[in-house]
Amino acid sequence: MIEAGVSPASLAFDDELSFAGSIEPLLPIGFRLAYAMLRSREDAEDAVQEAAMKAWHRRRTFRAGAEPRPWFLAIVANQCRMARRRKGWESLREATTAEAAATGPAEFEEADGLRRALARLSREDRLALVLRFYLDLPNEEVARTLNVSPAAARVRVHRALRRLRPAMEIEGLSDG
Amino acid sequence: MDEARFRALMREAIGEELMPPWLASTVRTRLGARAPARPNRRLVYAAAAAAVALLAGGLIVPQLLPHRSNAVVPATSPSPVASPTPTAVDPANCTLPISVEIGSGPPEHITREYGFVDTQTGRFTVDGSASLDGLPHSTYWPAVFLFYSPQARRWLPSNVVSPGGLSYAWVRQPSPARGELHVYDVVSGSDRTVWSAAGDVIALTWDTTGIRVDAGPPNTSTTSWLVDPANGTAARVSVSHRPPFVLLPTDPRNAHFTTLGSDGQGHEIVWMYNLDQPGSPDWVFYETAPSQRVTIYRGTQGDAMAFDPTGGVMADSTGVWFADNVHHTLFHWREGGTLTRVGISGLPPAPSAPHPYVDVSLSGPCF
Repeated sequence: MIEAGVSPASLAFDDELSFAGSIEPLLPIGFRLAYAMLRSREDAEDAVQEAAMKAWHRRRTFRAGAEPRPWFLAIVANQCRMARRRKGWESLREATTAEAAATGPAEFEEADGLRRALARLSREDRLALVLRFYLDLPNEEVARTLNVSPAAARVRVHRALRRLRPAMEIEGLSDG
Repeated sequence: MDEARFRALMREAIGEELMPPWLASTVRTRLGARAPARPNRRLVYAAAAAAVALLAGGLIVPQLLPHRSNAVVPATSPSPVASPTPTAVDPANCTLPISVEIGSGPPEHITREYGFVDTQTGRFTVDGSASLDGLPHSTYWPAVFLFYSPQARRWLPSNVVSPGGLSYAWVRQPSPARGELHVYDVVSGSDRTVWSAAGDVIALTWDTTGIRVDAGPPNTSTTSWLVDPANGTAARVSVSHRPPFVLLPTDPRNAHFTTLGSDGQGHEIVWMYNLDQPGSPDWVFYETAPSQRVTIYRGTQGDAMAFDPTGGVMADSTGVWFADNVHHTLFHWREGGTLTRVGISGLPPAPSAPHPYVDVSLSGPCF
């Protein structure tokens, strides 16, 4: 399993630079989320930059003692929505074949099929699946990122999986 | 399929892109307000593609187009024509192609309309004859109305359009390992492979010097090429990494900056803004030299001008057009002139659904 990303114990809000230092460990996972949602390295770079700026401006929305990672990922996810909306043609671009080329020929069709199936999902369904199965976040953290209850997060993930079918069949999903 | 296999497949399907090392330092720099933001390349590419094509196309539009018709909707059966009569386009009385996205969600629901704004009245009219039938398009995105060519009198599924407006570039990816750059001639309906390269090929712009392309094998950095559409010869080109502007000590620390696109003269237009803070500085400008800013508009957030160019910019022979999706307004600016407003009427209403929006995108030169 890929490490979901280091989360700092807390965030420093004394000034911009101390905040930048404390949020830095979250940037890689923020980038992975943005890349998974936007399907473009350049767009993901832009989205993470803007999300970090917005995180600073929205620092008052961070509850003391809360987990920084879902708070920041929620801002990244929102930035991805904004980026798609401001869009233009690039947001409509489907997955390139670059990643598929790195896989073996036998797996290409399966990965390609999933990529196409993901492209057909709504952004909210895709977000739920990316958080749960790509970033490997526990359900509790998926819930906090989506700003819903753990039960609702579980429902969203399962609903997104159902919409993925019949493209994909997944058995025995854990609740963790 | 079990869950572990599904997770592995998700990673294969989405791919693993590592964050570039410079990103953390850029975030630190931006938060510390000690240096300018890295240019938003998505906007730069998209706008540059459109702007360059439009600039070049726009300069030729007057030579190719017949006198402007009062009819907003073009001929039902488009047939590219050329006229030797030069006609200067009046931005206060021309036809501006736009695309409109009407969306809501979740659950996500998006529809799109394509048409024209009469800049004299601001009236939007749907192009009932819009069609991409028979036009090949890049395989890395669906067939989308990206550009209206006044010369070809039809919508094109590419915004990498020849300076004359009668051909466009698109990319075919016959396999993950190879990309082909194609040029489609709208007049003759002929298509030809101009150039190919290993890996992904992305067509960016087309001007009088050739077609700018980024290409590279999977999981490597790309190389920029300038391809001659006539004979397919390609030359490597270097890309400037000069930031689009220099942050001044007097710039507010709580402002956002974004590049909106090119003015058509090679200057990146920058918007300094803070939409969340009424009364905060609002400045749209470009630099002619480091720290030398040319102001397109300077005011405060929420002022009477209500200029929030969230929909980007497009340069043509008349100047620069801005789309404001906060107020559903178009703005026009030309060097030495003032910023003028065109309120759009006749746009489709926002849906009665969660989080509705109606966004306008500039889709071609005014004609």
